[in-house]
Amino acid sequence: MAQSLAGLHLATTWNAAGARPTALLQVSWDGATWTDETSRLLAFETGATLHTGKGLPFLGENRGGTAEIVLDNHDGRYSRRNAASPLHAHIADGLRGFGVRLSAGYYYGATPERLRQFTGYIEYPGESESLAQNRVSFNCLDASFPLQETPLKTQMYADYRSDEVMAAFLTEAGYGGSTDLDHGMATIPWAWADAENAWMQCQIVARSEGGVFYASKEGVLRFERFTHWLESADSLSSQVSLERNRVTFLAQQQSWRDCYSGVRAQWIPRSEGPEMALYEAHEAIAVRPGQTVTHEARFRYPAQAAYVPTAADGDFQAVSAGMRDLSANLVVGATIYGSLAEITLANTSTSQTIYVLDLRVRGVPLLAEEAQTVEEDSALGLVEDKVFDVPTNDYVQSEEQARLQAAFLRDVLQRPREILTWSGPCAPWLELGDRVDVTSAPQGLNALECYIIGMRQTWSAGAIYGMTLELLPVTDLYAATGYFTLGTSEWADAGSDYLFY
Amino acid sequence: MTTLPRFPTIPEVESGQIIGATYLNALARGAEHLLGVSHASYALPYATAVLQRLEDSYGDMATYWMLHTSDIVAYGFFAGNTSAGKTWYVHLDYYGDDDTWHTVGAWSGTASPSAQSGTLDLSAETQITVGKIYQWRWQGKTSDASYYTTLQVTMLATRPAISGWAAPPTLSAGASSHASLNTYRADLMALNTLLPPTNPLSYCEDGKEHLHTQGDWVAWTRFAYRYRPNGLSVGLWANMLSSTWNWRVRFADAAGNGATVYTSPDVAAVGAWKYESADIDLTAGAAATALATAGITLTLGTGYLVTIEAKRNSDDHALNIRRALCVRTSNGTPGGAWADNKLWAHKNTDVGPTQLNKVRTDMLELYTGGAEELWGDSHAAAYVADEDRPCSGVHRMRYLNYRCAAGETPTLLYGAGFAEEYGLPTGAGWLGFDLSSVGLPAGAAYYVVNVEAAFEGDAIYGEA
Repeated sequence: MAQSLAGLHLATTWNAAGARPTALLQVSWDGATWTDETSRLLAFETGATLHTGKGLPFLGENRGGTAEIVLDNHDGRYSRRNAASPLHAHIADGLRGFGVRLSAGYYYGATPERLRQFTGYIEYPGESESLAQNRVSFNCLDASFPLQETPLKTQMYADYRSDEVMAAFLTEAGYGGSTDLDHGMATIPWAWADAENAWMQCQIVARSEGGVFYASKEGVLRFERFTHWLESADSLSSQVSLERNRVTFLAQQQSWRDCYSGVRAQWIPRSEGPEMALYEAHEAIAVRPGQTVTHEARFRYPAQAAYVPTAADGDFQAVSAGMRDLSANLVVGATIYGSLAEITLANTSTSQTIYVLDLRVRGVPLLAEEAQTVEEDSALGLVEDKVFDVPTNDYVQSEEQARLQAAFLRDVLQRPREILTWSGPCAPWLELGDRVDVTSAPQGLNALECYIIGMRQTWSAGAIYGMTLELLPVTDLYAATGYFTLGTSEWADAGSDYLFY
Repeated sequence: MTTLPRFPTIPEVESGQIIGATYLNALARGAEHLLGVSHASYALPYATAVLQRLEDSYGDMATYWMLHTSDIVAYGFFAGNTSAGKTWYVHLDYYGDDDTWHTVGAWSGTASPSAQSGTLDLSAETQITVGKIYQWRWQGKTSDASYYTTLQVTMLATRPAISGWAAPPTLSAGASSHASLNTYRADLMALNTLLPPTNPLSYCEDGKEHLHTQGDWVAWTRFAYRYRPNGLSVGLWANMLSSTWNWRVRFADAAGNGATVYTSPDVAAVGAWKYESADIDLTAGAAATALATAGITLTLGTGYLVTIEAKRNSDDHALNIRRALCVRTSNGTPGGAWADNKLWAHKNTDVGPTQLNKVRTDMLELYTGGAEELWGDSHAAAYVADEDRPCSGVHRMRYLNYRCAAGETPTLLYGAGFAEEYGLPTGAGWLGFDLSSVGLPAGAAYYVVNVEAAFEGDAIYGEA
């Protein structure tokens, strides 16, 4: 979704012969206020991509957007061991996790016009000193940073839409930032996370229905469903014409290697099993007088429900070393997650150590049955007997999900796709997923419409503010245009807009 | 592990969203799934004989176990007194979480027989919890200890009301809307949620030795039929040393009209237990004629009484019968204005009212008043304390919930000729068993014998 150009003149200044770039760098050292560090900014490079394989945004995870920011450090301002640095109180323990905002654009006359190009956090610094220069570089991750740092344990969510699962995961991960989540196209029967990276989990959930999950330049976490680029205005019409007059590099690559005769997708159905012991401790747990022990119980199976152990139900015995019953002195609590429980055992006795014997957690397991597959084959015959296996995804639990993936990808993968690489001056309002058109007569390109699937920006003081785009021709992604859109298309018994997969 | 039919997951849609074949097929499949349930075969719940009580103080006349799925309880019974003008008294109780009996309905009258039916709202009851199994009892007394109060129980079930239903809009050519489809989705899910979590197994009277005069028909066991078209499959086991015998199926409405809908030909005794059965189409042929002659009109949702009777054709040999089986059957023909849905595919261009309104039409047939109206009755299981009985039914749900009778090993009888046997675990209280571990064919009739009570459920439920 391209950034707004309202009140700005970037649509003309970006491509002007005398374009004068401008940048603004802000860092939050104290977590509350933003400090302008632009005066020390020497260069930056940002990068973001929606694909990792086969030129398709719907197949792989993306690592998150990155930025490398190079700063003048002649006085050791950013050196954590420099006690004289005004930042010393903040950075003495390391330059990590500080918020970063980077904006860039062009001057319109004497007025700098900038748009946010990166929002994230310093992941790690690099410091160097040479004869003439003392520099520091901040290697940054976008808004995904805290999620990539957060192991996520969640409860079990039943029959949540994909976007609802992501929203729940983000809430449980403590994410307090902005989100823009499309309405999911599929309902996931069972969803949970088990001490896993929250960012990765959200991406896997998104991928389960062919969507993408990424952080925007403004730091908004976005989920875009399968059909997003057929629905969003900025993906439906070109946001900029990339003419040949300013291009510094243009390449086309057609990949026959990634052309397939069919696509096979898997789903793993799950069903509730009979109540059982999900966990059984294999040793006595000693709880000393006044002590509270937290015992992690990892279940044999993920559980639709699990119960707090009670002595009355035979879930444990609480005894002294002499086997005297001390269950009255044991207070048991539990936090139940999808596939584990954290059980707290508190001993209220003042003198006796309690031994908790045969601790178990009962519950209703979710049994995974054998993976099922669906295959959609091409009728084109461009290649033979070459079937692409969609990577297994734990959240694909129904045939509907699998068939949707297989049918869509079959249409996409049955022809060799082309990826264009375009380098030139940076049009700073562009974002991933935007539509652009490319013209270059020598290559036979006449306003070829493409989606942006990758973007890299480079900026350095006194140099051209450049961008390199990875572009996927629009015609290579969807089998048709004019799909039936609720609220826009009209119900019609004949001649309606096309039904999607 | 076996698998069972699964209602499709149907996500909500929003304005501006592209819709696809997967989504529209899910809506259609949702309606078709419910149609399949509507036409399921299932065992008819037990109806008691005409029970009698002579005392003028209350005492048990019939006892049940029932999974509490809803605070609405449906009942049906015939009460009366063997002497005109004498008063009959009946009340209905459950045994609550506080280990105390609670009366939820009480009736009395002098008319005899008096057909009583309706629902009770238990929402004010504090000692009963949804999701647990409770004991229920019908108690009665008479106003004059010289004459009997009579009671025949035909219905005891929880009956939840549909929740989340909104009138589905009719789509017209022109501007599309997500809201209409979301209403369809919500209605389908509301109908699916209404379906009971239990599948009843017929409780059967104890085996009987017929020693009556030859040629006399004698009633044996009864079933309550809340009518769904269009037939019955009835069976029983008999053992007679010599001669011949017959059995028949009687059908009666609440007004007392009765008809014989099936009479067996003479069955030759074989000197061993032998299974006899009949499939009866109540809407065609001799059965339909008999019903019409008797003035019985079959109406969806109305209660009827089905009675199995038998006679022996020789006074020289006893006729032993046991293990009745009585199953509602369907020819699968959709009722009312049911419309067959389209199988949607990528790039279809008839996304319009003709096809989409079929879902609406079908849902209205499945809704209250429709020809395929679904109801959520979760029937009680009759029992006699500490006595074992055979139960029979059609395998539709994964778990068997059962109570053992003292000293007996509950056993599944299934397969061809019910020749396969499987002994179930024994224990106190209500027990659960995963039927998928046995290989019981889906939709097949089977028995579970030597139990106090049993029903199939989508889960294992515990006793309160």
